[in-house]
Amino acid sequence: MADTVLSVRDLSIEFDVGGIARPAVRDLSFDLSAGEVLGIVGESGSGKSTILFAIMRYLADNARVPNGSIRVGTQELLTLSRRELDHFRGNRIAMIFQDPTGALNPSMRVGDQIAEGILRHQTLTVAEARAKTMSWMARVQLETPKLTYAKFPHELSGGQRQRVMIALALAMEPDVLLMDEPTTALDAVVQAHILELVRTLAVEENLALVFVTHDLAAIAKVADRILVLYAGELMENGPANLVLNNPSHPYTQALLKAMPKLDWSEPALAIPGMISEAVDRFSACVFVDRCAQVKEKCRTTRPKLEPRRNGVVSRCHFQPFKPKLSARPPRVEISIPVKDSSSILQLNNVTLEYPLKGVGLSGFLPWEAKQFQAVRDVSFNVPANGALAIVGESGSGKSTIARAILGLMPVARGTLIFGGEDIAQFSRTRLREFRQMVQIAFQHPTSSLNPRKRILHQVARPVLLAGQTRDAGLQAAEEMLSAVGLNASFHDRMPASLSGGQLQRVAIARAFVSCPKLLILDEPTTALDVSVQAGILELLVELKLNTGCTFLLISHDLAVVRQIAQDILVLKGGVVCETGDIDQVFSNPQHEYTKTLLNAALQV
Amino acid sequence: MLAKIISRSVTGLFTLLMVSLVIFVSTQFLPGDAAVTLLGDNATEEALSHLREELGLNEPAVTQYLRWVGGIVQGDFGVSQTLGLPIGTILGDRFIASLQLTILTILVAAIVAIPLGVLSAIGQGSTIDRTVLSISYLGISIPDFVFGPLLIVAFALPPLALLPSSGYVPLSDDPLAWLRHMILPVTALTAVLTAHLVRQTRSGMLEVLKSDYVRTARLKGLPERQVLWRHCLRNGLATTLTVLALDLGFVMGSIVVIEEVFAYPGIGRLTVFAIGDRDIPLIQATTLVIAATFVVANILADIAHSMLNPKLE
Repeated sequence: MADTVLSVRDLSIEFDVGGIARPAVRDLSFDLSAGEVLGIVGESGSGKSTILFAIMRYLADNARVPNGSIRVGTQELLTLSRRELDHFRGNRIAMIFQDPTGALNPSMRVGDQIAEGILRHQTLTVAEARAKTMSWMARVQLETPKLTYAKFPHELSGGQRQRVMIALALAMEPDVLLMDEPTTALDAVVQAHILELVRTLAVEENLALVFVTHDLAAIAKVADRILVLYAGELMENGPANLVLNNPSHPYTQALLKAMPKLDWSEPALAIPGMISEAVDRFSACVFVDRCAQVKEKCRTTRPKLEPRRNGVVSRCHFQPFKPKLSARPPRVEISIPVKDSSSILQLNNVTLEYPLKGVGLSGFLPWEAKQFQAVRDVSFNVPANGALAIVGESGSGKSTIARAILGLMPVARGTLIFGGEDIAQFSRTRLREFRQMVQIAFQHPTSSLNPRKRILHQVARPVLLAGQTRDAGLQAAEEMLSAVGLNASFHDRMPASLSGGQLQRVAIARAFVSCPKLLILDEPTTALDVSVQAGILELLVELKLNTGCTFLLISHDLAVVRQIAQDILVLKGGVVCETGDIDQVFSNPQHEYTKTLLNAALQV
Repeated sequence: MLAKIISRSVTGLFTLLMVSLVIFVSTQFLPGDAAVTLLGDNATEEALSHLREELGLNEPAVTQYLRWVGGIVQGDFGVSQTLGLPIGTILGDRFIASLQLTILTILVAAIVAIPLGVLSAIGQGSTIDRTVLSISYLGISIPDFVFGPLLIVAFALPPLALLPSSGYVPLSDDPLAWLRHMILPVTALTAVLTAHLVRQTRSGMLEVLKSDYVRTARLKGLPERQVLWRHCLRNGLATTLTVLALDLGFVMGSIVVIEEVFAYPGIGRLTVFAIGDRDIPLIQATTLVIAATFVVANILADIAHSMLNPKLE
């Protein structure tokens, strides 16, 4: 193409780990023109961020680039000296990161951080740079630029911080903008706004934009072309609508099928197995262990990039099957059809408060103690054997409710009734029993499991705490681990040697082993890859069916919620917006906020 | 910020009040009778009871405590039993002498440690880094009461005999002599502090150098020098400066030993003297002053911390 701005050719990247070269990316090529948005989609371990940092020439010290070329315009980046690089970075290519909170200097005013980049690359006076900063703040839709200029990052919300980062990058007027999961850390509604903003600015500024994410739905919103990456290998590259609607690589097909659907039309299907990190994986197809359509040739020969119709290239030996549309099994099969009329958990006008920390003595003085109401006057029932989802953005109070149910924080007003009894009135013994009956699985299994305890013992622990013998505990743990799909080889392993999905399975086994009546799931799949998430969702549905345990699911992801829950409660700012049967709420939302959430929920 | 300073000061005063209570109660349990200490073992019972009456030792403890605190508020620390002088006058000079020692120690430690720590962090793993780390290990492991006498042997005694081994000359009398008397005790006090501070600075800087916002700054195309001065130093040194302010209190505690080693007429030596002679009012006064320094150091640390960290303002 004549106006190609960014051109990557045969790029390979490897990391030297203990003397062994571990390949991260192999023979990657793509072109990007001005005004074009390339979406790079990949799960963890695909090498997607590594590619961006290679373009920025900011790889870790142990990284090597054995072959390849990266050009911006006619300039080769890989041979630039350190001094030349400083004039290139920011000026020609800029980058935006996943976590805008960490990416901004906490002790510098945000306006100054933007102006600093402008002053570095453009010959403007300080006053001109300030004016330009403010005009960019307005363009990224930050309100009152004058006031915002002088703010520190902690005084802004997550969405505002990411807008500052976008202004910071674009004010330097780069030709190429790299975005690394720029909306992953944001709430759904904010994410939708930022994606729209990115799309608009990319067109207005005629940017060559690389948008990297694991989220196919987000990429569907912004990308003109999509490049699918797996284990460091380009699997498929083509126009966005073709890749999404008519994928020509089995991995792309599987990835699309793993995504939970908001309309419940198809089940989310897990991709079995794990991403290969083997040093010699490029001698065959990297997807060979997980591919449903694998043939003998795939095991012996690395596929070449084959051109397919309409400018799509695909790294597969074969024309894949037309993806079969598997019909969703009827809902009754996967969940208890008749709701038990009795409720297992009931919240009556519950208000929950956090003390606001005072300065100095004021913390001790009762008349100065201030409370922050995280949850106000919330009432709901969780029917026995049912599955209720609490949805809302961060700060809506959904996790606070979970904390209160677990007895981790006091109830300021109102009552919490469990099995007909007020939790506040529980005796010590009753409280012990209650703690056995209510279990939780957290968002981050890595930090909620003990890093120094073997898996089997970790899962057996709740049984031992309940006063059973060691043998009974270990046996229960073994059965539970096999029920979550972890065989005996996992028993003696330490958490650090497990993948995120496996750890979440352990956490679920730990929660289920004491046969709880109520299981609280706090964002159970948010930290997981899409292909792994689908497996966990399947597992939860299966366990629910087999045990009849009641679920309380806390999530911000409506599509995930749809896979498990029967009832839904929409929370905003600690107040209930809407509650009801999930089908009815999704098909006919009554509250404005529910509508906003549903509109913001991205689908491919 | 002003509200914060006021609030911190109020908390500080409250802490001091608690400290005074602890000091008072614990000195009540010290063995010995002040009257006997003063008059000697041969005093008559009549003279003793007369003196007890005069000193107010027969009154209830609460009254004695309130009178003591009330006196301090008005600047009256009472009378030293062994010296027979008002404590306020004795304390003033000693405190100033000790304060000079402390502040000089802090300054020297900061001037040496901060640049070394920064250099060490920038060149992590380099020769400079490894040298700085090894020497600071040594500094941490040698206690000041060992280092002090070693310094005396090396520099104050023949054959070198470069510096005086003990004593103090007021700055206003003879600045050069003042400095000569300061060098050895300050060096002894600085050793541990510098070592500790170097490591603090190094780890603070390392954390910042690895942070995402430093990456942002570099990827803006800023030259490394600008990244360092504008983005790293302020954030990297925030903890160091807070620790430094806290160390003001720490040094005030260490001088009890060092002043004894170098026969330096400061508040530390006065405390040792007061304890040796069971001079209870003097013990109370010196401990309270040292505690007050701790409290002030803490307030300074708090203020420094919130000035460097806009999140806390």
